[in-house]
Amino acid sequence: MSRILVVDDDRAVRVLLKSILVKDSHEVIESPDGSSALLAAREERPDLILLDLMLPDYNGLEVLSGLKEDSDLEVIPVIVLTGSSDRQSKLTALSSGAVDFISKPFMSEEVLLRVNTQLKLHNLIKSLRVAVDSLQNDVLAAGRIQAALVPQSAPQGLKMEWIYSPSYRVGGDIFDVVKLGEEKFFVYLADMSGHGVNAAMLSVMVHRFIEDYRGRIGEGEFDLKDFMAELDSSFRFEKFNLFFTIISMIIDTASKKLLLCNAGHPSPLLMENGRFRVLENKEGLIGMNMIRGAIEELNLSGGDRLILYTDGFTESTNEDGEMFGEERLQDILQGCLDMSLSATKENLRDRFEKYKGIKNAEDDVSLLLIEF
Amino acid sequence: MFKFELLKKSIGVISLEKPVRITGETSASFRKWYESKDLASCSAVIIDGNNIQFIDSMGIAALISIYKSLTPKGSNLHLVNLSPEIKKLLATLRLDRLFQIHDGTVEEAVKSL
Repeated sequence: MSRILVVDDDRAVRVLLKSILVKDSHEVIESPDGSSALLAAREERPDLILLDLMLPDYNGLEVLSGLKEDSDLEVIPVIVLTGSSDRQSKLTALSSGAVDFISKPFMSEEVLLRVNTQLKLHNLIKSLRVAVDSLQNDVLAAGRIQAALVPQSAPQGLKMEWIYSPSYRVGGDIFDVVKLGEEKFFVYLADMSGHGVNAAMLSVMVHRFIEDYRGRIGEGEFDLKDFMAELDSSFRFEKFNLFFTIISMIIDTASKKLLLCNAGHPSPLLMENGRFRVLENKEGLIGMNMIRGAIEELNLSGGDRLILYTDGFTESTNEDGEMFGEERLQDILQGCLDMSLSATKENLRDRFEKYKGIKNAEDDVSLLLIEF
Repeated sequence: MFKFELLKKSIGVISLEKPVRITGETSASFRKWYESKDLASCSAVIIDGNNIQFIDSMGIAALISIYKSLTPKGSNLHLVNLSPEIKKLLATLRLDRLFQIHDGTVEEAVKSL
């Protein structure tokens, strides 16, 4: 049963429509003119309106636009009643937001068919809207949980800055910094395949796994090779049909030694004495039994900078659809050599935002800057 | 959008009718589409990358799933006509160690099987 507002100045038409609709167990409210129709729509909130276009006070089209301009009423489907020869006003009504029309004189079967079809459609749209809203809320909640896991600030003793902005629909970037000793740090940056709740949940699981691993080894040595092997065997592709790429590193700030393992991730950039070196990755993605334990060992000097990023950064496009690209990233970094690490980050962020423009980022965007 | 042909009775060839970016929803519909094909019974599956403009991580996951369905029977996934960008992506992920990547045409790939 639905509530239907019938608007027509002709009492005979209202009575006829009411008898047709009541027989089909709908509830009917009647209005003889435009102003009482708008009032009834506001007060009674009908599920559907049957609207005659020839009214004594307003033109029916004016009533229609009045309804469509009201954010509370615009969702109510309106079927207009017209004379059979009035083709122009039928078209105008449809383009002004009416969902259908019924020509006078009408048959009761036609009225019921058109009314019930529109009610069904309207209910479907309504439930779809509710479902989409609740899904969106879930995605936002997943995003908040994910964002709560990344650090708020760099631990004391490590010069590190970052840009971390999950995309509007939640992606799967995650990173963390763990202090292993007075001058020893474990840092990772990972990118889950896909977007949405799936990717966010996997990122939370990876984060949790890493915390557990750290707890398990206790005071023992954090062995990067062993860590990567365990990660690979714990997150098999077939388990979730998802994979991820990760760079994990152990940084010793006293000896300026860096151990790095890159599993399928975009190559990090190393700036040594103002010159770039691209650290090509040696391992494949996680979950396909491809991890062989290839660890890069680097001895760095004070002032050297390491830049890690996810593909969301370099693959972001401008309005013409051109990607930001690695070259642009290198050029900007080159121009920031004399700046502090935090000024470099701000400069990068500004340049990136300007390039991308106002549109939402398709993917998560993460970039870590570390100075030795 | 996706096309499937069987050559030499058992070699499945997947191609795209027009240039496509395999991202987001397209990745999902690609997955749904190939799951309706009996790829696991093919002696090899060739994907013609001619019309693949871009592929995101979900698209890559779909390729891995196809690969996973083929390997238990000793078949493999072959990729031809890939753009340099997609080749680079597969190399970064080291998937070029798992998939067979060919430089020539589909016909040449078929001949080599």
